[in-house]
Amino acid sequence: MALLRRHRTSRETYDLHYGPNMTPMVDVVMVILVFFMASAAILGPTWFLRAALPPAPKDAATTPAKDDLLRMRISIERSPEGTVFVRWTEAKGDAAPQPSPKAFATIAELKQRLNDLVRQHQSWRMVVLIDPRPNVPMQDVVTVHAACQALGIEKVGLASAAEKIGE
Amino acid sequence: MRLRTHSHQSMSVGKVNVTPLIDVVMVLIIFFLIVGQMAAEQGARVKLPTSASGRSDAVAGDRVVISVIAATTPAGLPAATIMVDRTQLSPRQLQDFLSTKLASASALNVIVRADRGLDYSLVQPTLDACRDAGVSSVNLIAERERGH
Repeated sequence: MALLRRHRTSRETYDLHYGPNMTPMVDVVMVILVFFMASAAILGPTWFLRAALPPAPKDAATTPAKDDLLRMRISIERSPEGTVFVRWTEAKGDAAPQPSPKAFATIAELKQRLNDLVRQHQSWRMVVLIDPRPNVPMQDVVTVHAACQALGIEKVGLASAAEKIGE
Repeated sequence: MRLRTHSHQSMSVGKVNVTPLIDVVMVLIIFFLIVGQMAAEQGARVKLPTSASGRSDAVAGDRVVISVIAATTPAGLPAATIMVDRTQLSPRQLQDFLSTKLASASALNVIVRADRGLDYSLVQPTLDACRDAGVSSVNLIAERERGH
């Protein structure tokens, strides 16, 4: 009977008591973790700013809007000295566009006006078209867009070149 | 008295197990390849504009990443280079590329990585190419400002 008893090696005895060796798996998982962290640091955290690309309206001046959305057209300009300022028009429904009270407003003043408009109307009832001049840096376009985004205005678009030519 | 000899088992105890090392090295190689590829595709040369707000969720579905990189003409004037998948395209080629993509994909998410210092006039041809191809909206990418 004793001859039938199977002799266990020390390795089998170890496996029986402690299970499979987890060390390689832990090594690999740690390396994966470190590299996901490293790749995230290299690529950097980013924001997505959705911008509509509406086609240039052919008869916008003659066709009134059929809804009661508040349409805002923000023009970003840059002086030869490098100062960036904005001017805008506001139009609700089919009403004629009203210009901003100040011809040369700062981005901070625009943010204040946007804030007031969002309180009066609701952000989802506002449509903003950003119309940067050719010499305006992308950073300022993104700053204005981000200001709209921060107030919950989702319908933000960028004016086309054809629309500028038609002005 | 019986002399102790080294058995086969006692010899194997002293050997170095290289399996975990090979595992780790293989994973390192794969991740360097992936991260390198991602960094190249995303256009690491683009200095993204910064933003305090925006959407943090990645855009689902078929995506096209367009990098608009600051460059200079031989005359030293500022210019922009349009890159898609490490291929330089003209605005016309970009429009054709997007039209082809739109024909095969039900929804196309166009992501624009434009350099923060570029004048809008240098980015506008890219946006107009998207518009003319039938793309109704794009996602501008901005770097998160610290603390946001």
